[in-house]
Amino acid sequence: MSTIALQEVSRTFRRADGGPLLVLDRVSFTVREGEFLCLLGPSGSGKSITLNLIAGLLPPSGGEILLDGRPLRQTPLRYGYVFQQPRLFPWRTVEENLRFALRAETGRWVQGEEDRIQAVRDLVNLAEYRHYSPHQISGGMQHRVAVARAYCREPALLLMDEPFSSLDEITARHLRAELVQTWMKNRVTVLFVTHDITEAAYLADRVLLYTPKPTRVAREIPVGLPRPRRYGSAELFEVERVILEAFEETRVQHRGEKEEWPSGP
Amino acid sequence: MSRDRLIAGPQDAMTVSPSQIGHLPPRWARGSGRSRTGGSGAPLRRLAALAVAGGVIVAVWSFLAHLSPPSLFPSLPMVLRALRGTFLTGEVLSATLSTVRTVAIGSLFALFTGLLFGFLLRWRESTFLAIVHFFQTIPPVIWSLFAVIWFGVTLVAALFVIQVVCFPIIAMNTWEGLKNLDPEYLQVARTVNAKRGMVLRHVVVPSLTPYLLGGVRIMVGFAWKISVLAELITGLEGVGLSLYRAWQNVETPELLAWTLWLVCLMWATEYGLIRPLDRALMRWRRA
Ligand SMILES: Nc1ncnc2c1ncn2[C@@H]1O[C@H](COP(=O)(O)OP(=O)(O)OP(=O)(O)O)[C@@H](O)[C@H]1O
Ligand SMILES: [Mg+2]
Repeated sequence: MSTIALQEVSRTFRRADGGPLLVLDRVSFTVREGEFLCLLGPSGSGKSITLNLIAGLLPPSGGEILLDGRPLRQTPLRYGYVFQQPRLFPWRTVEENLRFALRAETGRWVQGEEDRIQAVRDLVNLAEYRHYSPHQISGGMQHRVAVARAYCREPALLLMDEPFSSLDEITARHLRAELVQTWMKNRVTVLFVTHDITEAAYLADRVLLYTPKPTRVAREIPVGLPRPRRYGSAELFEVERVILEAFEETRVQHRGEKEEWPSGP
Repeated sequence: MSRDRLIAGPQDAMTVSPSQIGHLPPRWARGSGRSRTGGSGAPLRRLAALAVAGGVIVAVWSFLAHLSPPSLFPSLPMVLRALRGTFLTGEVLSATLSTVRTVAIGSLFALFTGLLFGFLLRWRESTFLAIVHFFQTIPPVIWSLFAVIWFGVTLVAALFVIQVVCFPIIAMNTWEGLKNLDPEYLQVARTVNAKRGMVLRHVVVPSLTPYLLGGVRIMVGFAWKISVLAELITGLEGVGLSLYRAWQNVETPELLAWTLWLVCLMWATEYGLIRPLDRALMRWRRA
């Protein structure tokens, strides 16, 4: 279990014309231990970048990321990352991809390996496809394998970048329900990026709303509903309405702002 | 005069190509899937194409043979008779075995050194590129001459020439493959905290495979030619020496018979070794 704290974290990139592109502008927030936090924001606002920073795949340009109060670099963090694209190894079968995630650290057989692979495989409904190559299964299935790959290591922190956005609604609902159920049992910390307001309302303890670039945290919206939640229920609609309202508000506010940076993409 | 030409010919051909080879494999890697499905999808059409190609060669050959005396350009039946003759004496078998051995051992060594240099190139590009370029620019025929001085008429001399001429091919391909490693897969490996060996085995090696296959294909083609050249110059037993003897004795049908046989051997490696290897290793590629 782990608490992640971003303190005034900035990240700049080089723009195509050579100038600096400020994506994250002194962003601060905390993902509390055992919390389910949803990150909502417009496209290009730096949601994936935020996850990459926390995962240590990218260094911040400024600020600091703390894990349980200590700088991230000093403490190895056991996390599962579901990327926005499935990123399965095309030269390995579905099952070999999962096995790689389990054996990566040691290079050897891991205690309870078969059970864990079977469990995540059944969870995402892929038992029949375990000996298939990634290119032989559909895009949605590939995403489910990627989810299974992140789950199977039983991480203390789950970073999920729109993991269900390319799935059909039925499968997505099934996986969301399973995610909530698993999460209620193990209470790992989850940072979940999404575009989908209903999804955020259904899953989150708290919703974090990003502004457009240069990105700051626009709003924090706590969701106090008990779980499991029901799609279409009045309470859920109310939460969605609040999120939507906040979304509109930031959009309108930052539309004016954007005119001050005409060169911004 | 004719002896000079004989030696200068293959040398020129071989010095031009290796420098271009570094850029070959990506193109090959992209195109290969298409050509493979096209080939296996229509075996009859492929057979017909082969028949047409064979027909054209035979026709041109017959025409040339018709125009010139047999000592300059013997007819196809004469060449085939010469081939049968050399088969009967057992010379073909022993010469071929000897050359095959040279090619196989030389290629394996070059593969190993090439891989090593590929990684070194990725590590310190400017230093090792200079070294690889140095080996690449010296013509194989010159390496052959030095090989005789240093190692005499031995297998080592031939292996040495294959080694120095072929390892840059593999090195360049390995380097290219390493440069094109997909960072997204490396990131996946990092998120599961993969140790070096696992990254090498499950990400680097599979990513390099198409580049290495491309390199091996070109390298083996070169190894054949260089082996023949080395035998011709060093006098080591093999197809090259037999070719040279035929040429020295002005046995033109035999000379052509050996050449024909060499072409058959190169085809055999392509269809009997490289293609099956490609198919087995690259099965994961999207069809
Ligand atoms: N390597 C890079 N070089 C330059 N700019 C980059 C780089 N990586 C990301 N960016 C920029 O950072 C911004 C944020 O990217 P990011 O992928 O985090 O967006 P996102 O919020 O995840 O959007 P989406 O919802 O569409 O996935 C984008 O505008 C992108 O142009
Ligand atoms: Mg994204």
